[in-house]
Amino acid sequence: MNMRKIQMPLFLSLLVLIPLDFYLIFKVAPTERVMGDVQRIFYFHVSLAISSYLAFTTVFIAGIIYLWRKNLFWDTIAYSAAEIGVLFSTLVLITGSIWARPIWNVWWAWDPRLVTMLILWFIFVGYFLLRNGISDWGKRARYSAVIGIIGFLDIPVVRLATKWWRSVHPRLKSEGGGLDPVMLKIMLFSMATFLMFTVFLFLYRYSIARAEENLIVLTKRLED
Amino acid sequence: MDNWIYLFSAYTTGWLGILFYVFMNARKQATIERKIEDLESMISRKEE
Repeated sequence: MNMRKIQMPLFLSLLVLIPLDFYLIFKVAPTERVMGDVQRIFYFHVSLAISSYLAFTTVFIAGIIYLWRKNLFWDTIAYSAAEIGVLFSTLVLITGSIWARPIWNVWWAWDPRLVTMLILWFIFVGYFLLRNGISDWGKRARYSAVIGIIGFLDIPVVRLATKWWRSVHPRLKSEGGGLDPVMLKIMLFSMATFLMFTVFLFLYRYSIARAEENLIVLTKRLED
Repeated sequence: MDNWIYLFSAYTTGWLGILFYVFMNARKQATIERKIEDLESMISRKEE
């Protein structure tokens, strides 16, 4: 599969979609009545969160297939996606903290949504620490797949945390209210743009991972 | 624009984080490609 054939159209589309997304967020989206302009962080924050879930779901699926087929290709897919997931979940925590400061008057609150998201982040940081500590490819892939699957199981908990426990974190669909229709459309546009960006970053990371493996194979060939 | 500093900080931090990640990967890619070229030429010389 030629990666560049998929990456190039994605890249060109993103060159148009990302500036358009900025325009919609800062010029078209109405200002929220209570929070004011700072609420515009929402479009970025939620898109990052959904994109990180997509990345971790890929880790989960690739992990299951790896345990079933024992093909290292799926491990490469999994850790490429996990890296994007960790990047985006880190940014979710940072942008959320910046948003919380003017609204809740604190940088961090021990809220169920925030804590479960932090746990998800720790699980996948642990995933990479574990990978770095194991040199045997098969063992590393097997343990990583198990951690990736366990980590994924935290995503429904993150999503449902605001329903299950008392939480101050806003919900996308609140009872009797919900988002303004214009805000919702812009939110969906932002999400779609970010999901495309996630696929682009994943393909980019995957191509580097393949090159890394190629390098290891060549080094071994030279040593033999 | 109220609280603009937070809005600005969130978007700037987020996008700088993404750009930093892409930059680090681009550097990594360049290093790997260079090493692969070196190894391939070493292998072909060895085989000769």
